[in-house]
Amino acid sequence: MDPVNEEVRAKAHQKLEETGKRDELKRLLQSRLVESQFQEKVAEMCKDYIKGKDLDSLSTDSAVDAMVKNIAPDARALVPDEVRKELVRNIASMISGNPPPPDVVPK
Amino acid sequence: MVIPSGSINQLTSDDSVMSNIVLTIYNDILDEILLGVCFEIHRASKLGFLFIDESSPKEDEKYVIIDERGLDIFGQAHTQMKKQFDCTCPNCQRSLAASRFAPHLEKCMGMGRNSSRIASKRIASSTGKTNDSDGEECDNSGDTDWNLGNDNRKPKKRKEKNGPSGVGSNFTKKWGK
Repeated sequence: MDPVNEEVRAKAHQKLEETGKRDELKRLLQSRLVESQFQEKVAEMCKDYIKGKDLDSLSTDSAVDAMVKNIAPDARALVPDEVRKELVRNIASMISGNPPPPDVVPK
Repeated sequence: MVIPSGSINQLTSDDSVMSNIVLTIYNDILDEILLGVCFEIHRASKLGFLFIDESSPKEDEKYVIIDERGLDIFGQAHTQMKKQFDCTCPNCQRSLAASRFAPHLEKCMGMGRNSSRIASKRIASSTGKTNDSDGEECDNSGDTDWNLGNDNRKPKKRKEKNGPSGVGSNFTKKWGK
């Protein structure tokens, strides 16, 4: 990402943090993912990942990072499309300050 | 510092840039949640309770619940259930009904009262005899001992009761002076 975009991203991030919207978004995503059993699936993936490892390799400081790195691509693909779209819409509307268009708000 | 929303909108007039930023923020939030899940799993595996609820299919088959007429959930017939459970005494190797095991053990191993002395004597004297008859005798004698012991104890108790009160009265007499 170029510096201008990075600056905008930082500003947007800061705005979400300050208004508490980021926590709100996180809670929303969390609840949607719980509804769709996403977390169970990710937990299964983690278990499969751990099964191939010995305990010593899990004791290193970077074990969790390695695990996240390993499962992140698959886990991102596991997020249901409608959940991702809802989140993206909400984030966009919160950054721009406009409410999300009513016709695309699900449920 | 509060950033007016207009500044972001001005900067992000380009839709693709905007959607790019939105996606990065979305990915950030998703990563945080993923990290949370990973932490949980990592902790579980470190503490050793991650695979605790998993059992091999072989074991699952063993404990499958059977739903048939005339059988209990383990697939055993009803008549089989009536069979009494037997315990083997570690002292005299006899097998006894479970309900009789605790009283037998008390007598056989000579716990409590004066039966212990008699039991150990008997064991020492009857080492040449067969195991079975030895145990039988031990058990029976234990019964009589127990009764005898009960009878013997009554006067003892009385004595004990009298004892302390007598001592106590002596004390009070002494301290009274």
